[in-house]
Amino acid sequence: MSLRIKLLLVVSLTILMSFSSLVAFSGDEPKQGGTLDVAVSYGNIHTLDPHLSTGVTPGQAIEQIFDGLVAIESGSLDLVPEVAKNWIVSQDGKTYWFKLRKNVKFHNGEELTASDFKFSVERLGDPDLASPQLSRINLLKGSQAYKEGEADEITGVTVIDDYTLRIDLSEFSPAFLYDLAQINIVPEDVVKEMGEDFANNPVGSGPFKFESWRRDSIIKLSAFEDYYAGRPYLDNLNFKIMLEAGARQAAFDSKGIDFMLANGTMYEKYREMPESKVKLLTCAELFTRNMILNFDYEPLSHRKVRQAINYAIDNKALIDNILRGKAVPAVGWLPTTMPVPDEDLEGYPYNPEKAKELMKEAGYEDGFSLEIMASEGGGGAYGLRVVEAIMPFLREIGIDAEMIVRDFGTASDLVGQGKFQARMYSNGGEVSPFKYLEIYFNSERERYAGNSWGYDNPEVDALLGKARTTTDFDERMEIIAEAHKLVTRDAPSWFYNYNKAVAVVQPWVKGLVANPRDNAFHDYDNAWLDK
Amino acid sequence: MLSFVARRVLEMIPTVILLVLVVFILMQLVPGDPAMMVGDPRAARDPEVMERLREHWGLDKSLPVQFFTFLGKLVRGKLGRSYAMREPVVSIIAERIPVTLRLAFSAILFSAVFGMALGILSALNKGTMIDLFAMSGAVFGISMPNFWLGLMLIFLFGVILGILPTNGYGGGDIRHLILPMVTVGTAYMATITRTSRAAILDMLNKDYVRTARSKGLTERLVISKHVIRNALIPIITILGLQFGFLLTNTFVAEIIFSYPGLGSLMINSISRRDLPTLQGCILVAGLTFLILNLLIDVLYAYLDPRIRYD
Repeated sequence: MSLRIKLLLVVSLTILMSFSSLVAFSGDEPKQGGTLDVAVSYGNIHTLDPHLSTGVTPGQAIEQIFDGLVAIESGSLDLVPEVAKNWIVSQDGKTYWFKLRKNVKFHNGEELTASDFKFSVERLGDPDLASPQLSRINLLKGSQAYKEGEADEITGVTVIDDYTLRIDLSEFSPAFLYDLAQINIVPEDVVKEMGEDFANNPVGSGPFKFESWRRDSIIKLSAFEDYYAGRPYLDNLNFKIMLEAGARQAAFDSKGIDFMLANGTMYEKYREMPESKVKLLTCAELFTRNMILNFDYEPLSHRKVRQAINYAIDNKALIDNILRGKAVPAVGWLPTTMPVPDEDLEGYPYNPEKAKELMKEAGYEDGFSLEIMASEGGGGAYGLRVVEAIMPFLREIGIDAEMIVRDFGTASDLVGQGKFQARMYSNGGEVSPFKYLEIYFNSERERYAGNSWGYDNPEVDALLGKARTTTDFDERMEIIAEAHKLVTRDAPSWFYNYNKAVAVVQPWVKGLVANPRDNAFHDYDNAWLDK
Repeated sequence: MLSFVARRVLEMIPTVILLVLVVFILMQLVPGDPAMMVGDPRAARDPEVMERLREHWGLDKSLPVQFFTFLGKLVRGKLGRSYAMREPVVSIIAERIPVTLRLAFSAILFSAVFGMALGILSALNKGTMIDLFAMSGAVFGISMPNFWLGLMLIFLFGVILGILPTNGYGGGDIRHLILPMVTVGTAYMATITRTSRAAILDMLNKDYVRTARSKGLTERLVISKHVIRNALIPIITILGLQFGFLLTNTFVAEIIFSYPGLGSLMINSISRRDLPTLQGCILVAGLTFLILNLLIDVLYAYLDPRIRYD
């Protein structure tokens, strides 16, 4: 090739590339306006009062209306400043000073100040309110006395001036800022004036303000012009409650909704479609689907038997066949998206020979019978279909399994009382790796409070105690990794999968990223419509 | 007549007491702890919160205390507060009743108009293709599970044709009512078609119809003035009797179409173990049945004086 031709090629390529980047740039310039319709699929939204709500479903709307001092960013799971501009921490990790932004307004136009935060925290702990989120303020100094009604205020929260807060903790905790991120700030005078009606007419300082709510049907929000970070691109944001999967899919196909979470069959359908028709936001979510094994049931009290169950089942085959690939095979308790250094953890690869050997060593060569409790609704992820599918695998190593079907409420109750042998379930939803491990495997916890297995390993207890007081992040993660290794070795559960959360989005929706915390939570203020 | 009505109302009282008692006992038998159901079911429970909530709801009190608290509220027209929504159950239910009634009555209207028209048409064309077509349609309508019909309607009108909304209340927009109405009304319509066909065929053989014809009245006048008017009585009976089933059907349709009525409220409060709300829904549904029965009895007594004097 002559030099001239080469030169020509380079020049034309450069022009082409700059042209295409120009095109891409103009296409990526966010546009203002439009309405985004989100399908709510998990369950119903029962309240919009941020201090009375619980769980993901109301949270997805509430997070748009309210802000906290700090926030957990979608996608990265980083803690980022929200109403607080910045903060400093004392050496012992027990005192925080927060500097608040000066331009934060509530939707009624009033300014948000430090005293609104103190009011919000005290409202959350109010004995008369009986908030289900009570534990979020546990670390604040003086919160116990306040919750018992023995004190008039929480002494750990001090308003220094309108824009400065001091927070004292009773002890250092690695989970504090995550708890703080979930405390939403409400306007003191509005709440006092409205009383109970606040849940129906919420006023916050978030990017979207409340417009209307038809229970079990639709929640309408609109852009808040005076949002401190600038108004969102969208004009309107609607949450449509659609509990029926078929109806959701039909609505998506007829362009009636812009965003929904996909189940296995939907994933199979939409992943085959070109990106010009549908966009998928995929990530490994912070949920561990597993079969909880009750240590009180004699055969399951042997570690080797529990390990054998893990080796006996081909996780990957199950995921491919009944979940259509919509899951990540589990290698232990903590989902692999967590910042815990666990590269060498390989879990329990499918090995029926080894499983049989372990059963023999444990003295259960002839097997035993096992009742597995499961509920409708978990589908191929943690429902009846999983139990049906693992029965032949268990049969291989002599375990004669029987399925017991109970609805979620009844099953949780039975597990809480220890009246079960095994239960197929999905646990997790915690962002902090420490909490994700501690609430389940701390031996002091009751069964209904997380430790469903009756798990008791002094080594793990000691490591968790050490992690609780370690202020250095990397060091703490090392300790957690060590504890996690022990938990994985003890095989309290059959570790099945971590949810691969798939959100299905119309091609014109831009600015959303997959969120491992829960793919139903999104920073909709970044979303915009290209149509 | 007045004494008859008074007697029937008085007779209702023990039934109502029984209903209240059964509802209260049912709530005690529901498995699963409501405090366990607060929050994301997949996350671990906080013992402190659970204890605080049980106290807040009065579940820490003994059963007789709970029963009399419930009864005391009931006689003052209160149903307690929803566990999940934290609002008075009475106002939550009051918000839903008009929505469900709107759906139920439009379904009745739809099924009565089309059912009677089809029934009359096939009776007058007995043995022809029209009759065969209408009757096999009716069998199909009765046999079809209505949740399936709902999904098929969504598929046809929402996805393929894209002309009707498939979800929600739409602030009372009439277009949102169409698909749920057809879903609820179809089985009902099929019943009415069959009943009105039979009733009209019956009337056509009556002596007074022959008299009317021999008097020289036009066939059109005979049908409209003598046949249809008299055939209305059995049709109305069926309408009343089947109303209970219709309500059950609206519950199913409400879930499929995210229609915010009593049915979706009830189903949601079951899965959330929101016992006061569930209790309220069952009481309201039970009372509706009782009142409907009373109305039908009174209507009969009005139409047939022999009943009054029994």
